[in-house]
Amino acid sequence: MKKLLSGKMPLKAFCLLIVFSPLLSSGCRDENFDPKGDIKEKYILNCILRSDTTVQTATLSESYNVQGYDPMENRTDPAVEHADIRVWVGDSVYVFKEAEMPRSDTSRYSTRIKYYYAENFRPQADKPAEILAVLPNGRKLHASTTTPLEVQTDYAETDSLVPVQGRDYIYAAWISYSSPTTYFYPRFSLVYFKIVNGLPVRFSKFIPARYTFSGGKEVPVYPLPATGVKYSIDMDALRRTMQDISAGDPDKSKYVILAIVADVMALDMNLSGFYSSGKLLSDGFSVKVDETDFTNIEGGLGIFGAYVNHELAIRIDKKYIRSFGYKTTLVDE
Amino acid sequence: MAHINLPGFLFIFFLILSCILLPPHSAETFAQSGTNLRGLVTDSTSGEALTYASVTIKEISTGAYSDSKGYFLITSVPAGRPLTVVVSYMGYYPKKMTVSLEKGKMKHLDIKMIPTSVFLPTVEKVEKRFVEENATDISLQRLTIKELELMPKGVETDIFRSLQYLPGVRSTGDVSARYYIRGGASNQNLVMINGATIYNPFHAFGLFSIVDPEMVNNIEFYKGGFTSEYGGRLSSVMNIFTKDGNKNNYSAKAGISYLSAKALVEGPIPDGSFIITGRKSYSSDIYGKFLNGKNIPLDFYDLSFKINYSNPEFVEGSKITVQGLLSSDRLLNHDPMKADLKWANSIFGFRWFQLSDSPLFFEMGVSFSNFLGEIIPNLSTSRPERNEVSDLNMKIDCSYVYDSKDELGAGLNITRLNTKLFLENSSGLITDIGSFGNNFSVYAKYKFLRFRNLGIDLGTRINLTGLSSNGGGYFNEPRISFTYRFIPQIALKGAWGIFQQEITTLSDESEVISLFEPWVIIPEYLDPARAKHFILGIETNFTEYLSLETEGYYKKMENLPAINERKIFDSDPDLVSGWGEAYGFECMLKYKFLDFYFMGSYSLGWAYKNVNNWLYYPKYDSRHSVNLTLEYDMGRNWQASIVWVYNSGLPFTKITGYYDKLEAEDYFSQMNLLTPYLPFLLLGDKNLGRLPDYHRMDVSLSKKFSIAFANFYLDLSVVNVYNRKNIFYFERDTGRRVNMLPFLPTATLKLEI
Repeated sequence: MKKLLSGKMPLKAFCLLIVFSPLLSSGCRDENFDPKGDIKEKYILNCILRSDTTVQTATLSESYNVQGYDPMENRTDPAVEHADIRVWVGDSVYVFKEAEMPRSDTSRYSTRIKYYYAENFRPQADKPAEILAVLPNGRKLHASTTTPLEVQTDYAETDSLVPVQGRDYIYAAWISYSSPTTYFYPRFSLVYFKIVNGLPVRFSKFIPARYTFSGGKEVPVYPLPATGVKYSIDMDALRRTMQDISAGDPDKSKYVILAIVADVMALDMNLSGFYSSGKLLSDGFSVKVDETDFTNIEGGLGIFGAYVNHELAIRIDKKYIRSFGYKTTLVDE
Repeated sequence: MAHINLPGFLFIFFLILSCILLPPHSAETFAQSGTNLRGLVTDSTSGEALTYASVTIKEISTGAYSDSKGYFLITSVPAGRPLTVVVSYMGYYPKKMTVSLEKGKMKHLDIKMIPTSVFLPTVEKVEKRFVEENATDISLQRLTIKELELMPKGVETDIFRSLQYLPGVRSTGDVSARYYIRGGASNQNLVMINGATIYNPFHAFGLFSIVDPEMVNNIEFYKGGFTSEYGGRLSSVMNIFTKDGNKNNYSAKAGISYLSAKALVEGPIPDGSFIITGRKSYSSDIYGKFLNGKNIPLDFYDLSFKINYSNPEFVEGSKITVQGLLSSDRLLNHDPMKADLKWANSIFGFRWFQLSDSPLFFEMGVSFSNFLGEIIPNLSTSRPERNEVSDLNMKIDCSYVYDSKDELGAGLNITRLNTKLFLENSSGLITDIGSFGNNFSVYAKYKFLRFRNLGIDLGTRINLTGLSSNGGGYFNEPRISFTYRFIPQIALKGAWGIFQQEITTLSDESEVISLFEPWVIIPEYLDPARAKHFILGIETNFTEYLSLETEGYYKKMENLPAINERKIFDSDPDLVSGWGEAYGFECMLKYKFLDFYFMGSYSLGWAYKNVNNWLYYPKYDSRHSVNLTLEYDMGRNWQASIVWVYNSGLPFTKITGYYDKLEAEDYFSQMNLLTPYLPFLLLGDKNLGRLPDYHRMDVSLSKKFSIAFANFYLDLSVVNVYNRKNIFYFERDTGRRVNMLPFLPTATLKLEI
């Protein structure tokens, strides 16, 4: 020891330490790690009441586990069948029936989509609603909400005919007396007919808010739900959409343009919360390891919410329509 | 507004006033019966102040250490007989001189130390260092740049990373130089450069600090229990003192590493000196090693300068400095679908240090610190964010040393802070959640140092006005620290204090990598955060070369602002209040033997946080931590070091299953509920799991050599020698494990002319 700590020995000892430390430590280079704890059984109920249809749907599923850590590995449809689902709106009760439909994307689940539905059920604005799902194993999931207030067009602020001279955008606004936290989700669509085999077929195409360049390509940008009551799109986006509907078709006279339809959804408080908590605001560099989740389902997860929608039409100047070679009416001009 | 304690305020006010108004030539006023010896210890080649140099008067076995500016003061020195003053300092030849003092007249010595050409403290073997037996310095680490240079360089020499080798200092990974002290969050650490606050002292997501080590002279680092001259933070204080610049010759240095190129120029000016350093990144390839192979188009620079002026004909005994630190980081994607980011600091300061014929030190400083951080979302899903911090500060500090060696210190601090944080709310409107405030605080302290084996620092800091509008008025922060040396080898040390913090960052604790952390004054709906520290320790000096420091601590934190994870609507508060608690034990063993230096430290700690009535371990809670450092001076300007770091696993939240969640991305196509859902995690109780233990070994080899008129410094380092796969985080959506730095050899070359 004494020799080791004197003269040239310390240098040798130091060098040996450096040389052999990787070997000494080779056994602890890696360590198995399982980020999973005890797996919990949870049930998920989703039901969004829509004012734009008389058929309301609900889905019921259960949580699952996978062998590894990639949840996409799960190939067993987690849908829960044979549950009793009822919705109360005011004095009325609606009992949901079970149904199935083909699945368009079978890359993960090959079975048909299982869901629940109720017919002749169009929720009215500003009504309390309640849902109760009783599972085959006796577990209960419960939630309540209030449908949002009606939305009305703010005619003073909304364009009635476009293009507006001297402006390169189209503008729509609406009025709602809902809570200031209510989210509105606007979207403009171009509604048109195409003459197919001599008969007019109605089509609709979403108009993006604008186009932008990304990675050398022009990509459309669509709006996101927000609490604001105004919305605008670029005239250029309308022009591009007008061109796109007949892209590759030399016969433009087969197209009849009707109008722009501005559709606004007003989300109730639960849907608003569900939306705002689910916004994945990624800057591409921050790494977040825990995610927040929103649910208003007592006894489980998921969402019970409602929305009302409101449509308003914005006319398009006939000269503008004709400049694309399209017709302005189904009747011969 | 809270009731103002008028008698306390008046006491401190008159204390400060008396120190300020004390004329420099009124030594007689204090009727010094003994004689005082004051001096300045500098490097003979550059004139740079040497801090913590040992100054001993042999005949009376007393002495002092030079302070962070290089000054020392020894009181009650017998006059009328020759005395031998011995000065020693790591890396310099010891200096002996004979002085004779006249009774009642202060003697000033300018001591110029001649550097040895070797790196390690050979002087330690020659001269016995003075031991300040009653220094009230528990939890205080003083580091000179010489000591920092000995530590492994890694990818880039960094002072913050070097601090992580100290017990009680934790990081959450190789990626970030952000540090956590004794269970406190990173935003509870005050970082200052020559007394001016740095709000975001990091480049590149926290990979490196913005302070170029070439600029640093020394660092004072309190891990807790800091004395009353410091305030505004709950956990720690780091004050970085920069170099003055070469007072004798012009010189230049240039260096290049994997990441950046840098240059330094320094030299004399009439009655003073200047130093200027600049650093610029030139490659972003290395970021991929830190950030999971991502290509990050990040570019940064920093620029620091300091100018000193000291002319006896202008004001005798004065030293005036002007400093600046500018830093900028830009992450520009050149893609409208991706967000761009930028953040920048600009700090300017002016300081006036004044000596007098009496043992009075006076210093006044004015500084302006500005931080700007911005996220420009373009067309990505990021929200726009802009944080502006503007801090105008004035400080006055004065201290008086009595014949008995007792010291009286007092000062005032005025801070005018404006924080703006512009965020986009859900209606697309930009709102500012920042605010504006003034802090006017005064402090006073009395250090009982009259007994050789007992030192007590008793003080208080009184906030007369606060930054935050809720409860930010009058608040008293009493502090006490003591040292009692039973026998020359063993001292009992302790500290207690109350601390207040009125600003916070909007930090998301679940982010393992974050861009920058925006600062805001604690909003009016929350009370200022407060903490109490209790620290007790034993310092044992077995021999002159072998010492062991042990400390136990308990820290209780109240009103801790935390991100409101339940915030859903704009009307919900951004922050909620919680509390925290931390306690633990640390020890550090230092041993110097021949050309070896060994430092080993161990810390055992517990940290808890309670937010929304949920008690959990914060992400930086690590139970055990071990750091072992061995340095060896191989001679002929070769230097080698080896460091092994071990930390027990950090907390994380366990996965308890998965479910298919309705995505809230496109309601127009998803409202029928029948479109494909995406898998979502079911998480267990927050942070109840533990990641595997972290350990890593780094080695480094340094060589200084000369070619013609130029000196070269070559540093070769290997990070993670045995390629330990330390887990950084677990990608929840893919199940992929992301590890920290792998085996990584690096090299740095520095040229000095």
